[in-house]
Amino acid sequence: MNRAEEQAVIEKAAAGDKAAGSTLIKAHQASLYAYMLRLSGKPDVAEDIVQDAFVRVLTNLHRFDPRYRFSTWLFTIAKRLYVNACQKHKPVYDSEIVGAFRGNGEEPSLPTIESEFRGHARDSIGKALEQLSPEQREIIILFHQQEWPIAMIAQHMAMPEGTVKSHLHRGRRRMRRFFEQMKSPVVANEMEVSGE
Amino acid sequence: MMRDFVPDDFLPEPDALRDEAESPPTEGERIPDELVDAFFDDEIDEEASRAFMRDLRDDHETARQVVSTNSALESLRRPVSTPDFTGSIMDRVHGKSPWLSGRQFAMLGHWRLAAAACVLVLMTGAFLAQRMAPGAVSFTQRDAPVSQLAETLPVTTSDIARTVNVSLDTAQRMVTDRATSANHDAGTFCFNTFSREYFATVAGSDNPGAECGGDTEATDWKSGCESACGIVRSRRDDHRAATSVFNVVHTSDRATNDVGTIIIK
Repeated sequence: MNRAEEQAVIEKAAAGDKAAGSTLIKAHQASLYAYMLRLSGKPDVAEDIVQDAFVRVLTNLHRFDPRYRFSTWLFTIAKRLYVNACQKHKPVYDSEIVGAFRGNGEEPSLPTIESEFRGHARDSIGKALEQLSPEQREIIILFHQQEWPIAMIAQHMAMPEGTVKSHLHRGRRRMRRFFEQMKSPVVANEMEVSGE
Repeated sequence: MMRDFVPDDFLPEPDALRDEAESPPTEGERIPDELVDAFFDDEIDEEASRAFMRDLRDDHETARQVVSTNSALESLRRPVSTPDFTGSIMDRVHGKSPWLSGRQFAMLGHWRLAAAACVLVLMTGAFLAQRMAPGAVSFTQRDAPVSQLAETLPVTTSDIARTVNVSLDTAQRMVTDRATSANHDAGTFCFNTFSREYFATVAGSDNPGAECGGDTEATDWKSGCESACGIVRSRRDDHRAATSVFNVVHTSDRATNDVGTIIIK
């Protein structure tokens, strides 16, 4: 579905066409779920966020600005819901997290996301992503999993493209060193599983 | 986005291709991180990519890292088993329980029931209390007597109020002997007039009880008032405090009436 087709579907869904709404869900639910699953590390959280995000989006389609991509809007709302969910269910109280708090009110939830993520990443890529900062992790997911271009990630993350690339490179280098330290047994195992 | 490659890429390249490539790193020399980044970002062309692969053969540590990282990033793109949320989302969007998941909606239901039960208990309690002691439960504000108001006023205003009370006591004493029940209304009227006239124009009224004239008792009462208010009049400078007292007294009709009643009695 190209952007023109998608815009037509959005307009129909905004007018109350249930089939159009279903089309939007089917077109984006897999990518959003994969993104949320990697971001949260928890399938139940990912499921809740995906559903809540679609409900928000579909009940506010009249607010969608067609100058932007629908997926960018959807992912942004999902991320906000995830951040809010982390704040509600995982209060920040340990001294390490308090020490990491930035104090300017911009991103109070990121340390919480960090603690949320640390407890639940279990597979090899999850463990590698666990080594990264929240920004690095999200950018790597968007770039390598969602295959978003740098400009789109920059828009989504509300940061300059150069900063996005910097996070991407630093995150990937940290992953490389992590695998080097681990002598990549888990990766080797994954390569066997995937037949590489 | 990222080009695919497998460890076979590290097999020796034909000599011709090697000659075309950039000079490989010497033994022990590391491939720059920037080149690895460019490879993963898919920002190098095919020829540079082949050269990069050849260079990796001489940089075993970087090669291991690149293979591991590439494999991990590839695994990110593997399809994830995704439940179909279409039905549940459309149900929520089209009215079954908008904005809330089933679990949240159930919790909201419990909260609603609890809130309704609390309201019912409170209303029943208020009803029973009202039956047992009429007037015990009242949601309307009651007027406070002047004396009580005086106690709760700020110090300066409170002083004025106390002075007024003393003045009124004086006036009360002067009319007590002559007062009858018929003077009640006149006394109340005079008090109201007196208080309004005096406190509203405290700096300018020389005859605050003038309108009370024409009735003997009332005239006597007026004299009492004027005499009593002489004390207050000495505080003319404190117009703001006097006005505050007037406002309190004036807005408390019940208190005013009580004072009038006291005076007559």
